[in-house]
Amino acid sequence: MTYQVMYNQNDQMVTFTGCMRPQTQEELLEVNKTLAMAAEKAMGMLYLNFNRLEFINNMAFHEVMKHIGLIINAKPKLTIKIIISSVIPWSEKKMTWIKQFYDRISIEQYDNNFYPGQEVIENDHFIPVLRTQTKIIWAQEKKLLAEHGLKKGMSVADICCGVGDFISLVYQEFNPSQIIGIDHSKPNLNYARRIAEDNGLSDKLKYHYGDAGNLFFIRDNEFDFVTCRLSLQIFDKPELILKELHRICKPGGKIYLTNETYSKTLGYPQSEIISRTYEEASKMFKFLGMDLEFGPKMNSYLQDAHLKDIRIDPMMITTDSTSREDFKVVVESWRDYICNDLAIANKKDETYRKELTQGFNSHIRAIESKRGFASWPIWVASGTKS
Amino acid sequence: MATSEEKLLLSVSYEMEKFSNDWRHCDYSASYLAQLISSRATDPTKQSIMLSTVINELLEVIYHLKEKTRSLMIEIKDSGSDIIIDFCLSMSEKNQLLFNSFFSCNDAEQLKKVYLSELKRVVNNEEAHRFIGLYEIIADYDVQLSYQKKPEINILRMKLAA
Ligand SMILES: C[S@@+](CC[C@H](N)C(=O)[O-])C[C@H]1O[C@@H](n2cnc3c(N)ncnc32)[C@H](O)[C@@H]1O
Repeated sequence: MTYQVMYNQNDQMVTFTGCMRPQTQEELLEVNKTLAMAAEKAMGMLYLNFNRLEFINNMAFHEVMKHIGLIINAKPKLTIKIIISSVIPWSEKKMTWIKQFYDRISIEQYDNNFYPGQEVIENDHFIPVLRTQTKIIWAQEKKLLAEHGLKKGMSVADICCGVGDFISLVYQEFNPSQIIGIDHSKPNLNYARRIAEDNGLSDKLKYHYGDAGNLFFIRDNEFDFVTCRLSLQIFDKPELILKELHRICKPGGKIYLTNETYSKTLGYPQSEIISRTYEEASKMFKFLGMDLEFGPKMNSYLQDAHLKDIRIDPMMITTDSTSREDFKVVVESWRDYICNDLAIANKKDETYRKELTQGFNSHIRAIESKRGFASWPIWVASGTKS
Repeated sequence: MATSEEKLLLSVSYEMEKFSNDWRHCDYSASYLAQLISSRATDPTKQSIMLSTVINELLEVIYHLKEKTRSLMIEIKDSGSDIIIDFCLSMSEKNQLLFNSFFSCNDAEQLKKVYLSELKRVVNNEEAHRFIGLYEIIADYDVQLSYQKKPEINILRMKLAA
């Protein structure tokens, strides 16, 4: 039984980590001491965070529950918020019982609310976007992956894996010794699993429901190559995700990221309206806390994460580098998603949405026109863990 | 002991005396078995955390029985729709009676109510039922638990949706 319990006065939060399966009450002295200290110091709201506690047995649960009762009775002005995770099945079940016995207790599922745009990203309307994007990216990305150190037989973890196309392609091309994908969208994971099953690969391609910022179920130093594609840019605290990527990567292994400068997506003819469209789209993502201009910031983030051999390459998707038909399908999927789900989440009116739709349509015409040109800039970065 | 519709996936055998000499065996075995069973599950992580939780509770109950004499055999079976985990061990008369009485009610709703009233006892610092952990896994995870006495052996069966 190895658990840790810590109180942070700034956040007024007690955090439980690890596995709490004691045989005797004496093994829980640390818990009682920490809870008593927290109750003494906290004012207003005390947070009890269980989102990193993988296991708890009933004996420990009863002790924690009794201690919560002591705090509630002794501190009439204190409210307790219990933080749980949807990744840990026991946490919601067990903690909900506590509410039946005490007032001034609330329960928050922390992974319901990672970042303001979560709802629009995790819904199934996003699936066509992800599917078509990977299709036009792969030809270039395959080469860049090798240049950034992915070799046959390595173990690979793709964090924020989306619908799993990348994993299937890496599996076919690089024959990894092990490959897993983690995502927090159930529709995306269901989709990914269905594809794996249809291809007879459900034994090889493993998809796990989890939170990129809390990969407690993966040991330290486990993977040779840890990827996180087009995803750091959607989080308001990317450094927390990077910390987990770093932890699960083997020393000497690589962390591999891709991110965009979405507002710099271009097209000709009608360059101006096209540029304005993507600038607007980028602003709408920003409004929901996502930074689709994150590409150039990767260097400094990778340095802050103490990675070495940092390398950054452009991956410019253009009407020359990919099939125009496939590029068009991607822009159509962006148009449908951005002018509907995203614009609605931004509370944009009908006129705005119509104008934006016209902007995307101009881009589509540029792609279709033989004399036209279009590009979408993505940045590829990697670094080695010391 | 697998029937024709039940496919035996794995069977593990412990010497009871060795099993009961270290509390951590419950945790280790639960986590190991859960990971093994879940490796092919749709969501291996979530399934394994859930299975480890319920297996651990049952192993802790068995640990506390203090049956030192013979072996504990755990058989994992797949019935297509369910995962079945049989814990097979010989038991003293006294322990058999305890399980007989625990399993005299098999109405899930009723068992949930019993769990809530047992939790109330915990909150009030009264002594709760020694199998409160079993009430909890029935109430929280829709685990079906049953008990069967065969000559020489007692089987505690845990059944959950695959
Ligand atoms: C822009 S998509 C990129 C998906 C994929 N990497 C690709 O390139 O196709 C971002 C993904 O991150 C997932 N995601 C969002 N928050 C997450 C979290 N906290 N943990 C894991 N995945 C998350 C979303 O469900 C979505 O699939």
